[in-house]
Amino acid sequence: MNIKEYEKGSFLKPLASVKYLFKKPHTVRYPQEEKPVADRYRGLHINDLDKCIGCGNCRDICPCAAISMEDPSNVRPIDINKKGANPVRPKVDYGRCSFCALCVEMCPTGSLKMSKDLIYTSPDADAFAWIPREEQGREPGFVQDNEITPLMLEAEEMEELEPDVRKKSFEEMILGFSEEQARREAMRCLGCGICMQGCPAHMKIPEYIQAIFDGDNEKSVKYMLEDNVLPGICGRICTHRCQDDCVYQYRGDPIHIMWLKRFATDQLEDYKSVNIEKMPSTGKRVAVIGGGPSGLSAAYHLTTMGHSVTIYEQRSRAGGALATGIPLYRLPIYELDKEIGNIESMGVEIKLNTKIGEDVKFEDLLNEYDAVYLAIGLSYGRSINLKGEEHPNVVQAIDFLRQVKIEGRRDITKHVIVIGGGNVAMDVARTVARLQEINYGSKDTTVETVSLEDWDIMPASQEEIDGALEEGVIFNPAWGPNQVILDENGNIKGLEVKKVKHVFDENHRFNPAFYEDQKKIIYGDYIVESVGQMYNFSFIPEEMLNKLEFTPRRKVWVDEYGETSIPGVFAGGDIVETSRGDAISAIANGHRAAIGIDRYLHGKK
Amino acid sequence: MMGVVDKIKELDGAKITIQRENRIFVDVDKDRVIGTLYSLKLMGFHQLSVQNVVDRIKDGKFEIFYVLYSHEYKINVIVRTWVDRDNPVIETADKIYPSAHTWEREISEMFGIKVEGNEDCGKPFILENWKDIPPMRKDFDSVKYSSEHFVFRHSEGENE
Repeated sequence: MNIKEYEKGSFLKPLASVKYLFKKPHTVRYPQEEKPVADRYRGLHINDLDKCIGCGNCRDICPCAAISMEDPSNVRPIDINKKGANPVRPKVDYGRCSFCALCVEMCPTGSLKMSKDLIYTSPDADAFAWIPREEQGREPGFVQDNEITPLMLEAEEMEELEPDVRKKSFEEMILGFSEEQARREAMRCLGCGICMQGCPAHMKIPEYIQAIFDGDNEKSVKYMLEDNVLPGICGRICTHRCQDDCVYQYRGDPIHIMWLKRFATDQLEDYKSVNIEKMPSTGKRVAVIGGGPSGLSAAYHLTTMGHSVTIYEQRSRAGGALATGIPLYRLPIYELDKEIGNIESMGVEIKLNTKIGEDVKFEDLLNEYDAVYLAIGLSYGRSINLKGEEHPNVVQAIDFLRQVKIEGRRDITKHVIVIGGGNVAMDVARTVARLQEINYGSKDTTVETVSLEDWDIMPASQEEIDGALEEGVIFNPAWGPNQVILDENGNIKGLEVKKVKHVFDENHRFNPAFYEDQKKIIYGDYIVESVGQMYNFSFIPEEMLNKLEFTPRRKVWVDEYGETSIPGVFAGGDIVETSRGDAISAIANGHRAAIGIDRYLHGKK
Repeated sequence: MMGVVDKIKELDGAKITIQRENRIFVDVDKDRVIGTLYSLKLMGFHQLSVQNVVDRIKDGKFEIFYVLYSHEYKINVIVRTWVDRDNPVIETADKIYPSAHTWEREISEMFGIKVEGNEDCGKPFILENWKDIPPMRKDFDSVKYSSEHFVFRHSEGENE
C-alpha cells in the first residue's frame, strides 16, 4: 500500500484567504440587508382604484371566493360617474386568498397587480380583508402580460365585400358570422355585464351571448326580444354603445356584440316560437302615431300586455327612418319585412299611407282611443338658410335617401356635394357613390362632403368614415358652406365654402365661427343637405299644442313613464330628450312608454 | 452497441412517443409500471424527478406519470399509466426510487389514489382535518368549499 505524503507548505498559506475580503459575498447579510424577492412574486394585491372599473371579473374567477365587490368610499372616494364602470371595487379576504393570481391575469383593465409584499400580522381576523389600493405603497411583483394570457384578446374578423365590389350594387356589405366564428366570438365574453349600462335598452347581453355560445339561438333571441323588438335590425345598424363599454377595449378588441345579435336572429326564419307570451285581452285601445322603431317597440309591448294597438304611418312602409333613411347596403328590405311582420303577427294593426291631420284628425284619435303614443320622430330635413338653397337641385338628405330606398330612384348627376359630417351624410355620400358607379361606371364623377367639423370631432362613426373613404368619397373637413354658385343658365356650378375657425365656443356650445377671408369653391351640380332633422307638430290643433310642454332644448317634455303634459298622450323616440338620436334609444323609449301607458290604462296613476 | 433509445423501444408492452430528442413518453398498462420503472433504472435512469397525476375527468381516468432523468444520456423519460377514477389503486415504486415514497403520499392525499405497499399513504401529509373529496380532483368545487369553511369578513380592516 502506497502512503501518500503531503507537502508541508508555507506558513503564510492561510493568508490566501485574505483575497476574499474584497470580493462581493454570495450570502445575504441579514439583518443588515434583506434578500430580494423574485420579480414575479405573488404577494398582497395592489389595485389602481381610478383605473379599475369594478367589473367583478376578478371576483368571478377567484377559486377561493376571496374577492367581493364593495363600495370603497369609506377608504378612498372614487369617480362614481365613470363611464362603463360600476362604483364598486374588489375587496380581498386574505384568510381565503390562495395567491394564485388568476384575478390579475383576468383583470381586463390591468389595474390589479400583485406586490412583492406578503408579510402582514394582526390579532384581529377582520383586519385580513381590505380593499387593495395603490396608496398602501407596495412594490409591484406579478403583473399581467398580454402575450401570455387566458383571455382571447383578438376579435373574430368580419368578412365584408371589397370596396370596388360593393360599390357596384346596393347589396348588403357586411357578410355576417359563420356559426363557428360566432361561437368563438361568444366564447370570449366574460359575462360581466358592463356593456348593459351602455345600451339604452339595457339588453341582457351576457345572457344572450351565453345562449349563442351554447348553440341555443332561440333562447338567445328570446332574451333579446324582452328589451328590443327589432334585434335583427339592431344587429346591423345599431350605434353599438355596448361595444364602446366592453371591458376588452382596454387590452384588446371589444366583442362584436352587434354582429353576434345579427348572427342569432339570422338563424331563425321567424320569431313565432320566441315571442313574449301575450296576456289576456284588456279591451283597451291605444293609437300609435308613427311606425318607426319607437312606435313599433311600444306597439309590440302593449300588445303583449293585452291591449289592442293601431299604428298610423304616413309613408307606404312601416319602419320610420329604418325603412326610409338607412340605405339598402346597410339594412336590406327583407330584414325589415321579417321583424315588422313579426310585430304584425302579434296582432298590431298598421295603417299605412295615413297622415294624421289630413286623413285622420288628431282630436278624433284622442276620443276614439284610451291612450295615444306620439312617436313621429324627426322626419323632416332641417335647412341651413344657405343662399341659393331654393334651387331644385339642392335637396334634403332624408328626402334623397327615401327616394333611393323605397321610391326606386336611380338617377344622379356626375358631381355631387354633400353638406354634413354625420352618419346620415355618410349614408348619402356612399349612396351617391353607388348610384354614380351604376350610372356612369364612376368615370369622371365626384362625390364630396363638406363639414364644419375637422377629422377629430367629426360626428360620423369611424367605420362609416373609413367605408366612405374606401369608396372614393372626398372629404372637406373644417369648411362651412357660404353660398350656392350658379352659372349663367341658372344651373348649379358649385358651393362656395369658408374656412372654419372654431365649431364650439368657450362654453362648449355649438357656435361656429369662420375666417371670412379664406374661401374656396367646390365644383358640383347637385347638393344634398344633411345637417339634421326636425319634427313637425302641425297636425296637433293649436290650443292643444299650447298645452304640450317642451324642454329648453325644444324636445317634448315627458315624465319618467313617457307621459307628456297632456294626460293620456305619451311621447317617445327622437322627439323626447332622453333619446340619443339612434334606433336603440327609440326602441328603449317605446318600451318605457308601453309600461307607462299600461300603468295609465290600469289607473295606477 | 445498442443506443439507449433503442433499448427503451424494446420495452415490453409499452407505447413509445418521442416528442423531442430528449423527451420520450412511455405509455404502459397499470400492471407493467413497476417492471418498466425497474428496467429503466437499470438502463441508467437513476433519478425520479416528479411523480404526479392529471385528472382526466372526461375519460373517467387518472393519468399517473413518473418523470425519470438520466444524467448519463441527458434524456427525460416520462412513464405514463391510467387508472379508473372510481377505483384508483396503484402499486408503490418506493423500492425502486425511494423518493417516490413522498410523492405517493402527496398524490394519495391530493387525488385520493390508494398506493399499495406504501404504509404511510393515508396518513395526513399537508392537509389538516380534510373531510371533503380530495382537493386536486377536478370535481372539487373550491368556491363552495371556501364559502362553507371560511367566515366572510365584512369590515374593511384598518391595516395601516
